[in-house]
Amino acid sequence: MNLITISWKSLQFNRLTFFLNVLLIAFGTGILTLLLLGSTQAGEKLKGNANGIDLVVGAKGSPLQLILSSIYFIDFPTGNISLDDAQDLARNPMVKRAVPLALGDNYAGFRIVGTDTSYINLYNLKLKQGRFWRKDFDVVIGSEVAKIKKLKVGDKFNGSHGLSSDEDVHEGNQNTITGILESSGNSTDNLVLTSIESIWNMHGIEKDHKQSGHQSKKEITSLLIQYRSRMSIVLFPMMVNKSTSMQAASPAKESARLFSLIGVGVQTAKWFALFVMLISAISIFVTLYNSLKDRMYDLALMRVMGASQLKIFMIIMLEGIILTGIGSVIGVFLGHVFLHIIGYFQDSPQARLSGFYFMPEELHLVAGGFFIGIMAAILPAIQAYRADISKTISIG
Amino acid sequence: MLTTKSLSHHYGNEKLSFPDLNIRKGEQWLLLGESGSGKTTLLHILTGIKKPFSGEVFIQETELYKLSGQELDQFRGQNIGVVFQQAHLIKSLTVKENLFLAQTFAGFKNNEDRIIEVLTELDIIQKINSYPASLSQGQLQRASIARAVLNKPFLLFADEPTSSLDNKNAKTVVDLLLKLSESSGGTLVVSTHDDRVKEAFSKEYIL
Repeated sequence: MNLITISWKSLQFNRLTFFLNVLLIAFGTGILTLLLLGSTQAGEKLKGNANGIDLVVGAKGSPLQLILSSIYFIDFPTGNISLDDAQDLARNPMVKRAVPLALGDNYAGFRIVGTDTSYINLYNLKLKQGRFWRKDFDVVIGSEVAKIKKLKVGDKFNGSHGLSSDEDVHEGNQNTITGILESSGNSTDNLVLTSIESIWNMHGIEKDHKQSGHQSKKEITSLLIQYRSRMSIVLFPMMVNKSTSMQAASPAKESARLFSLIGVGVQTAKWFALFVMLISAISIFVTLYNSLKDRMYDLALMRVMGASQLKIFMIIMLEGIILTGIGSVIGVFLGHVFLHIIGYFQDSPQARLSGFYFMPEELHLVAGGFFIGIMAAILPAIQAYRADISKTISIG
Repeated sequence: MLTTKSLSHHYGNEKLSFPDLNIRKGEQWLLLGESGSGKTTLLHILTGIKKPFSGEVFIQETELYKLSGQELDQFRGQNIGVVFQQAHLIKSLTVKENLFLAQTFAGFKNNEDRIIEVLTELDIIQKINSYPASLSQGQLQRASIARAVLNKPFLLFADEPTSSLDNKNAKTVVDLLLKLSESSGGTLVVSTHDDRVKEAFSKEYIL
């Protein structure tokens, strides 16, 4: 029989109160865990995907929408831009690298992206199996696509028109998987990559162009641009926005804007969770304080049996610490579980959040739970420490 | 064995002075007095849970109130057993766990054999794994006696141990206290104003 067992047995004696207090702490810690893991993962995904991209050029519209659709493959594109205009921009001396993207189709919700080798170089993509595309309708799929759809090299599938449904299937041309990418931990894991020509051919654009014989009608969705020098940060987007029919959007700027928009909600939820933690601290304090009145005789008897004042103090402290310790560990666990459930039901696989993501900061949450336990228990523990045994025994 | 010198205590303006006690090993004494005479106060002073206003308490060669707080707690746990008027066990623990507690706080290893031995002697072995809520008043009192004698203290105090019991249970409890102190060679001091107890003791201090 040790002090922990004594405290544990005492907590177990009032199971309903024990359960409610653990639930409160778990709820608060769970929300904080969810926010910590969710916002960190979202931030990492934003940062990881935009790495090396200084600017995105696309059709006029919402700059945030352009960024979301071209880098994170979440939102719908703002429209298309002329291939000729895009090529003119790519030849600008301020541009070090320009990566064309053509969107418009999907396979089972995974976006089919027409691009060229510069996209592979931009993200330093490596093949796990097979080879990159060589001809029209050759596709390379991301690791998550292969895993989820159980696809292998040589498999064929029909893409669907649109970005998030598989209703309008392109019956004519089948895509053939020529390679599967290694996991990169970014949105490319959830993409189907092919040549831009495949996208045009799928939509009959090549044929139209050959028949008309005029200026190219070919279009792409956007252009990912890397500057030759940091000097271009101000000049180049200004030039695009003022002198062309296209718009330029900075991933850094739009990501920051997106985070400030999301941040309000995250902050509100954070304050709510902290409020719940405060309520649980008060609840534990009231529980221990009230139970002390009933247990004063018990504690006095323990003193008569030889327990020191410090041991009595520790018994009460341990009750607070055990309550919040269990609550916060359960809370962290539930935070992971709920995040995984949220990820499971997310529409866009590109931004999918995972519960199998661990951070050292979670230990801070558990430590915070212990701290709340200590703070909630300290006054009742001091009261128990100072109790007059003789008086308590005499009152009975 | 147990000696006191010039013990006194006071509650506000009311001062209580106690006779000097000189109790030898193995003796069985009664502390008699009406309600308010200070029996419980004296018992609490003798058990080391209430510091007297003045005077000294010696148990064997140890002057009780010269010990530090922690030393006094340990000394009490290892050498003194107390049965209180209110038969009380800790509700969240079984009878066995309550007795384990007495061994733990006295600084002894948990010894289940000794617990079984004492509970058998007190005829409540069948309640060893029961919670206090399921025990009758008489069983509770016997369990609290078991807790007091478990560590074989050489001083056993009982404060009004029969006041809440019927005649049959009162006699059983007194007989048990006498028997247990005799068998262990320990000293027994019972504070009471219960006439049913008087005839069982030959030595008494009257307050």
